[in-house]
Amino acid sequence: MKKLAKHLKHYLPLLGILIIGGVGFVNFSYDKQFQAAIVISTALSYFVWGLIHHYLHRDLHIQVVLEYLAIAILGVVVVFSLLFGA
Amino acid sequence: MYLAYTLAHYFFPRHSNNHKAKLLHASTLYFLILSLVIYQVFLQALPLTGLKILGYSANIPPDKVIELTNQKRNDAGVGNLVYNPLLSSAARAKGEHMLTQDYWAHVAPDGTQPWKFFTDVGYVYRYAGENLARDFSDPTSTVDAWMASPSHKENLLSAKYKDIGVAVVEGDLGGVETTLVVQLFGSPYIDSTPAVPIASADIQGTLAPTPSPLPTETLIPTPTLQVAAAPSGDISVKPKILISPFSSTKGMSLVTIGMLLIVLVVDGFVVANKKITRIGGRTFAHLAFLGMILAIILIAQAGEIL
Repeated sequence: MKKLAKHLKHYLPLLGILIIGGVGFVNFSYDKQFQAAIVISTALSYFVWGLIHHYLHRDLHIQVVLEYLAIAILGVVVVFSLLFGA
Repeated sequence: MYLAYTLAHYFFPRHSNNHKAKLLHASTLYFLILSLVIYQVFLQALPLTGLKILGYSANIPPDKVIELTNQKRNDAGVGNLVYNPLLSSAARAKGEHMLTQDYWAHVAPDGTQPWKFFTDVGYVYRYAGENLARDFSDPTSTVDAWMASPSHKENLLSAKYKDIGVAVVEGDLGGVETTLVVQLFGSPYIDSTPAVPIASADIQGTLAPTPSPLPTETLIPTPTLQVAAAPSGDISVKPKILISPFSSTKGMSLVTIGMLLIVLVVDGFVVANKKITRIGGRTFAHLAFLGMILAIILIAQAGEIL
């Protein structure tokens, strides 16, 4: 909890990005291409947020980069499967 | 014993996994991504094998679609549309044409325009429009999806239309058992006023009509609605649906993301409790992102409009 409070000024922009992404996805439910663009933008923002956050905390390692990238790709693949799957 | 060890290795941070649940390691995450992609490839390839086990089950009575459409129009203060059997026949013909020609579009690959189906059944129109939907399970979600789209909503609530016809056609589209909903709007050409195109902009779902040459009054008989029967060949045979591609994808996604969220919570709790220092991403950030993905999975619905 103490750690969460310590990173609050970093977490607030992340939450803002995710809320905007989620609300945008719901609002444009009629346009799958735009929904796809929203999900890619949100995942990319999340990945970049991770890089900046860890860079500022001086603990940006390749394992961290790969971890954020994997979770971002996983999110995109899951949503794309639902949007454009069989 | 081995099973317990494996479970602990994958789900709990401990010395064997470098104090991070193996499921959260980048290598495992990439393996999960690959598995999801392979599953989608499998679903896409299944129709090519000739196995008819994919499909969407639906219960969409056309009269309910008309009723809901008129409800939306009443809410918007626009007059009711009147059921027109000619438009329903045209809608059925359009649906069957999509199945036999295997396409999902307003204009067929052979160039057949949507308003051809109006004139084929003898509906002489002044204004015409078409909304399409596929893979919805009920009429409410179908109409709601059209209402969520500005261009389809414009068709649905246009005061220029007087008549409506709806057909629900079931058959094989691209190797998957599909339910298509075709909603046609029209205004009969009954006076000598020059025809005015309803839409100047090229917007989705609204079709700029070509005025019919001869003004003709359209007969509006008593409504009798039926779900369209598939015309011929294999589309008239409704195979037993074993797997809904959307539902199985949704289920698989829910399990994957749900499991990761649980492991993240447990992992975060254990690491914080034991004050373990390690190199890795922030648990809270991962929880927030995957939480958003979970919310999207939960609200995702099958169905597409055009």
